[in-house]
Amino acid sequence: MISADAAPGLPRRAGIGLKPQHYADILRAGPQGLSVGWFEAHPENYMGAGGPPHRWLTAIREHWPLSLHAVGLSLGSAEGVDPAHLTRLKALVDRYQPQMVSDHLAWSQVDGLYLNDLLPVPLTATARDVFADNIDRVQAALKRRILIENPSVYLRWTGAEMTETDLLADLVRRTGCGLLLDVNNVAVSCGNLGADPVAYLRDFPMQAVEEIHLAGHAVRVVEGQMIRLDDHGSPVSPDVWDLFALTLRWMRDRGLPPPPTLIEWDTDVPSLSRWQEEAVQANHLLSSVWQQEGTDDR
Amino acid sequence: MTDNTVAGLAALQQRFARWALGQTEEVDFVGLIEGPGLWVHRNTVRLTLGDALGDLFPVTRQVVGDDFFLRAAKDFLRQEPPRAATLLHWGGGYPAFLEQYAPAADLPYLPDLARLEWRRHLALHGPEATPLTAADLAALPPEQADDVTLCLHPTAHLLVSDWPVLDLWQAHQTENGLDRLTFARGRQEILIVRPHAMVELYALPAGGSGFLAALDQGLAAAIAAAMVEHPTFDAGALLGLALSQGWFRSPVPETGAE
Ligand SMILES: [Fe+2]
Repeated sequence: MISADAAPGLPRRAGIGLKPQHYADILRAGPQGLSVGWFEAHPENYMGAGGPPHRWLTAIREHWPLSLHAVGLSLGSAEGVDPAHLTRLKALVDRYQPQMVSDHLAWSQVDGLYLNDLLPVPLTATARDVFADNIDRVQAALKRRILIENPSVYLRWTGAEMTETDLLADLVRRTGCGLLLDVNNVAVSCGNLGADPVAYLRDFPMQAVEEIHLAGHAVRVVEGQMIRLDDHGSPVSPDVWDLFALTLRWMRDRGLPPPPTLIEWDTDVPSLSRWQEEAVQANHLLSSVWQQEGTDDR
Repeated sequence: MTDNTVAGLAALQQRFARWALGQTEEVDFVGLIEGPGLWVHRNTVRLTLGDALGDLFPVTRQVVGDDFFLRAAKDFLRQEPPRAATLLHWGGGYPAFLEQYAPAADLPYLPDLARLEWRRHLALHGPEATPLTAADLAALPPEQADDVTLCLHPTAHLLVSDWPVLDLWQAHQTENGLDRLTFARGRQEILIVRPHAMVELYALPAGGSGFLAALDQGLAAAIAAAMVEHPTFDAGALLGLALSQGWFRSPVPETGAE
């Protein structure tokens, strides 16, 4: 269990993902020229010894707050967290001093194999205990709290002993971690599992949410079934904007501050200016919901 | 899940991983799964890793075409899946895989082309080091200058191929480059190095790679090594180029400042 640290967190406004094709544009625009308050990068792309990725990230970190959003800790692995990977992540955290560090409720590595995909964790007490132990190990090594993100889910293991939101709440209680609520993942998972996204959000431990993700997803037919694919390849969809607005009102009504909100975009990545338009829309909601305090019907 | 122990979870994850990577076709967790998305994960694993390999070997991919490349990538993935949760370290075995890969047998230069691309990747992400300049050397007191050991920059990689794979690689960097390329079997010695922000590629004169590789045994030994097979090798000319282009790392220990 690690207690909340005093280090200032991410700005309570919209950020976007950091992509190599935008490095030069970002630095040319500068903090005054962008309506983006912070950047989020995947640490796994910065695990080389040197080279352009480090040169650019160093320059950008000088001007903007940074979130390191990991995809490779594999916190759901029964065999535990790969110590070599944890060492690599710690080196990046020490070097770049990010305002936030996060990974997913998922696993991606087993038996020395890395799958480059976020695979679902069984909703059992055993899997939860494994996960909590792994979070403890990471937080102890990094000497800081991390956030755990709700994943996009395409299947469930049978024999569930709890809901995903209960499991996340348990993790918060046991490890002191925070949560990253990905509203798009809620839409994707509930769509794929035939569940109600509003009910999911109602059960979500909002007090622990310290960051929000928004993104676009695709709808495809796979093996004869309609599937929502979390490809982060399009603008945020209207239903996800609605769920985001609902989430913000509920957070406000519980006396919580506006959450740092990231617009993710990983395939068919648009121009920096198009991406910023999404950030502007998120910023607009973040400020308007808290301005309407008490005047809302909900 | 039927086995609710940590060992049971580990076994389930192992089976799932082997299936997703295509190492087995046996789907022995169907009864354990609800929802339509089993194949989504297998597709994601294979497609994203195939694409990642394509990003590492873009010219190899252009030479063989997308279909061929992705088929080969699936086979490579089965044999040599990533071992670390950063893809920056995956793919080093791909050139050797291509050497054994029967469908590529009529492209004998392909493994070396892939080697060139992999070493370019290593140079791109290799450690930073201040390059040694001619001015650095000139500033040394004469007694030190005499026995200075010239160490190749830590991002430097040499490649000797029986095919002019650097010419082939360069022809793919420009729009009509291939039209101007005459490609025939012939030895090429190549240096790949990143002294500053950009990776630079050089075709070396005959004997140059042996010379550069032997420099850490001293200048005289390196010249002798190069002259054995290439009596006309001009060490002075290559040294001049090397110093002006930053192929060596500065032997001066770096201070605390970056
Ligand atoms: Fe996300």
